[in-house]
Amino acid sequence: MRGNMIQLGYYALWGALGSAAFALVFSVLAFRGGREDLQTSARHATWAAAFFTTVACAGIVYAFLMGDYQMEYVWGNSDRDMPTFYKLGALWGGQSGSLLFWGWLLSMYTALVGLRHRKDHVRLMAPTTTTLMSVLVFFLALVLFGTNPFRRADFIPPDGVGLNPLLQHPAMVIHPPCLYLGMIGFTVPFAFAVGALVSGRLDNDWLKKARLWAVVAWLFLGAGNILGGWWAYLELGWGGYWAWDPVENASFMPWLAGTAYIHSAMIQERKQMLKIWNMVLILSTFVLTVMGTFITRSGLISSVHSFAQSNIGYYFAGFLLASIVVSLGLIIWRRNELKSQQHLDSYLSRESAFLFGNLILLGGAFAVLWGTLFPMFTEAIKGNRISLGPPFFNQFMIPVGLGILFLMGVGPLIPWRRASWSGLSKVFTVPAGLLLAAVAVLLIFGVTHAYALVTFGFCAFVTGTIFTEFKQGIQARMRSQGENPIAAFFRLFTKGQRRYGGYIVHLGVVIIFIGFAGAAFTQESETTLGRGETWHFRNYALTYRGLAVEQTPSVERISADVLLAKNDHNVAVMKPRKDWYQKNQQLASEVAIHATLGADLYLILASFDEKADRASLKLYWNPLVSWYWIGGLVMVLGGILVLLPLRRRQLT
Amino acid sequence: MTTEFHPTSSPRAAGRDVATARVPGQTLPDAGAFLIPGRVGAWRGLTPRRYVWMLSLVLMFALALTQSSVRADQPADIGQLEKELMNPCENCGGKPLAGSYCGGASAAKEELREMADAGMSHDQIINAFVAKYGEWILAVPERSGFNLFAWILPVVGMVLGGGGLALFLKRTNEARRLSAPVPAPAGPGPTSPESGTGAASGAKDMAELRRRLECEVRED
Repeated sequence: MRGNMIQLGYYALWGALGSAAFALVFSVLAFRGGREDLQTSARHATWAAAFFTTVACAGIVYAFLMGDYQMEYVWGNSDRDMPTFYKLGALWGGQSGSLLFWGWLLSMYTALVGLRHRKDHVRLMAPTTTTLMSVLVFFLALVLFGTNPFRRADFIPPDGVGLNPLLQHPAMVIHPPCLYLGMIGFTVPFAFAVGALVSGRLDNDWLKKARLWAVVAWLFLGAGNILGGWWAYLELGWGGYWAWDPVENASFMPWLAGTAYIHSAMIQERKQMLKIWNMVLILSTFVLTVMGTFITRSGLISSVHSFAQSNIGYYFAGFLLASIVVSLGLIIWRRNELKSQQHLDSYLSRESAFLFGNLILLGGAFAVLWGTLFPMFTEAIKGNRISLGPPFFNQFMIPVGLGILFLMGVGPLIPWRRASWSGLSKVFTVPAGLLLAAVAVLLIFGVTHAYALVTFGFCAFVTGTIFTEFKQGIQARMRSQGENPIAAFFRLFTKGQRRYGGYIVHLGVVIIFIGFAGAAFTQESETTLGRGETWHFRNYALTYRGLAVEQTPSVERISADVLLAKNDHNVAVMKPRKDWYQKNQQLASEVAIHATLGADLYLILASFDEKADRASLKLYWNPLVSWYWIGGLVMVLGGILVLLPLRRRQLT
Repeated sequence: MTTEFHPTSSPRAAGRDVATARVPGQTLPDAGAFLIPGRVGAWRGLTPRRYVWMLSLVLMFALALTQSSVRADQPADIGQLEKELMNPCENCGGKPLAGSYCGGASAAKEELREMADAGMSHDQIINAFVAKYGEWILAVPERSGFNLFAWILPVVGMVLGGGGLALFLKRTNEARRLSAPVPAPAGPGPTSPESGTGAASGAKDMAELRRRLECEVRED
C-alpha cells in the first residue's frame, strides 16, 4: 500500500509532464488558428498538470511521513527523530525535491493565471500559456531525467541521514517557499511579455494583466529575502542578517530588477513609452530568477546553501541561453512596433527620476552579479582562487542603496512631464527641511559617521515626501468630499489604492534603511567567565551562572546560563547554547538575543569548559536591528494593501 | 542593502571608484547643461534658496564619498583581521572568519591570536595567511592586476548606463522639440502647463497638481 502511494507520485510526475506538453502544443495550435476551443483545451491541460504535480509532491511528502528510507531522497534529507513539521519542509530541503517543488508552484501559478484570465483574448493568452508551459516542461524534465526524487536504492537502510541541523528552524520552513513563490512568480509577467511580443498586442493590455502577478512575485521575493535574513540572524550566529553570500545574492538580484520593472511599467502605462526597455527589464528579471536557481542548485559557486553538485548545470545553462536568445530575438523582431509614441518632456520630471532609479537599481544588480561571478571567472581564466566578501559589495551597494533611498523621496513629489525649479522648491520644503533637521539633531548628539548621517537624513527626507503626499491627498478629499481627515485618510486607500499602498511600501523601506544605518554602530566583544563572574559591557552587566546540559536521544544541548542586567536592573536570563548532533557529527550554535527597539544584545556561546565551569562568550551589540524586521512587515503590509480588492468590494 | 559598514577598514580606493560612476547623474549645473542642450536657461534663476537646496544635496553626496582612506600598517586588531580573512575551512567556507565557529575556523582564529600575541603587525599577519593558504583567504583580494576588473566593470557598467540614459534623454528631448506642435494624446487629465522658471509658474504648477489630485481621489 505504502509503495503504491509513492509509486503513484512517480506516475503523476509523468502525467504532469504529459499534460504540460499537451498544453504547450495546444496553445501553439490555438494561437495559429486563433481558436478559443483549442485554448480552452490547453487551459484544462494546465489544470491537469497542476493536479498531477500536486499528487507528485504529495507522494514525496507521504514518503517522508512514512519514513520510506529506501527512497534516496527521503534517506538523504530526513531521519526518524525529525519532527513532522520539518518532514514537510524536507520536500524542498534537497535538490531534486526543491526542483519538483519549483515545478509544483509554477503549475499552480499557471492554473491561477488560466482561471483569472480565462475570458481574455486568445491571441494574447495562447502564447502566454505556451511560455509558461515551456518553462514547466523544462523543470519537470529536469526533475524526471536529471534528479529523479523517486529513485530507490536496492536495499532498505534502517534510518535516514537527517537534514542539516542548521536548516531545522521554523524560518527555514517558511523562507524557501516564500522565496520560490517570488522567483517563480516573475515567470508570469515574463510570459505575458512574450505573449505580447508574439501576438503583436503591444498596447497596455499585457502590462495591466501582468501587473498583479508582478507585484505578488515582488512581494514574496522581498519577504523571502527578509525571512532568509531572519534565519541567518537567529541560526548562523555571526551577528548579522546579510553576508552577500552567493545564494543571498541570487535572490536579491531579481528583486532589484523586478523593482525596476514595476516602477518603469508605470511610465509605460501612463505615457506609452519605454516599451522596449520594459521588455528588457522583465526579461532580465526572469533570467536572473533562473540564474538564481542555477547558482543555488548547480553547485556552480560553493556556499553553505549549495548542498548539491550534479550535471544539471549544463541543462540550466542551455535553458538560460535559449530564454535570452528567443526573447531578445522577439524584441528585435518587434522593435518597430515597440517604438515610443511619446517623448520625455524634460529631464526634470518624474519620468526621468524613475529612469535614474532604474539605472541605479540595475547598476546595483549588475555589481552584485559581477561580484558573485567574478571569483569563478578568475578561477577559469587565471586558475587562482580569490574571494569577494562583504566589504566589496558594501562599497558598491551602500551608495546604490542611498541613491535609491534619495530618489524614493524625489519621485513621488516631482510632477510628471515637466517640473520647474520654483515649483520643486515649494513642494520639497517639508522633506528637505526634515532632512536638514534630522542631520542637525544627529550632529548635535555627536553622530559623526558619514554614511549613517546620510542614511538617517535621507530617511527623514523620504518620510517627509510620504507625509506630504498623504497630507495633500487628505486635503484634496476634504475639499472635494467634505470628509473629516481620518475618514479621508482611510478612503485614500480605496480610491488611490496602488498609489497610497505603494507609499506604505516606501515607508517600510525607510524603516528598513534605519535598520541598515544602525549596523554602522555595531560593537562586539568577547570574554571568558568563571561561575559567578560578571562582565560589564556598555551599560549592561552579564553574570555567568553555570552550564546546563540537556541530553536527548539525538542531540546534546549545552547552554550557558547568563543573567543580563541593564543599568543595574535585571532584565533577562540569556541561554546561548551549543547543540551537538550525534548523527551528523555536527555542532550548531543557538544564539540568545535580547531584542529591544533601540538595540539587540546578541550573545553566542563560543566555547566552554565543563570541568573548570567556564564559558567563553561572544557578544554583539546591534543597534536598530529590530527596525529591519519591522520595516519588512510594513513593506509586506503595504504590498497587501495594493493587492486587496478594496474597490470591487465597494461597488457591491 | 547591507549589514556591515566598515568605517575604519575598508574602502581604500572605493570612494574614488564610485565617485566616477556618480558624476553624470549629479545635479551639477554644468552637467545638466551639458547633457541637455537648450535647458541652460533653467539655471539662470539660481536664487539663494535654490542654491541652498543644491548645496545641501551635493554636500550629502560628498559626505557619502569621503569614506576612503589609505591606512598605514597598524598593530594587529583581532576583530578587524577576522573580518578581512575568510574561513579557511573547506566544508563551511565562503564566509569571513568573523562569525564562523566550526573547527577549521577555530583553529584559524587560534593561529591568528598566536601571531598577534607574538607581536606581528596587521599586515604581517595578513601576509602570513596569504602565504599559507593563498590569495583566496583575503575577504577582498589585492587591488591589482586582473582583480581590478572586479571593481572596474561595475563602475564601467554604471557609467555606460548613465551615458546611455543621458543620450536617451537628449535624443528624446530633441525629438520633442522637433515635433513640438503635436499635442500629446495620453495621460489622465490635461497636459500640464509649459512651465518656465519664474515663481508664477511654480504656483501654477502647484494649482494644477492640486486640481489633478482632487480628480484622482474624488468619488465617482
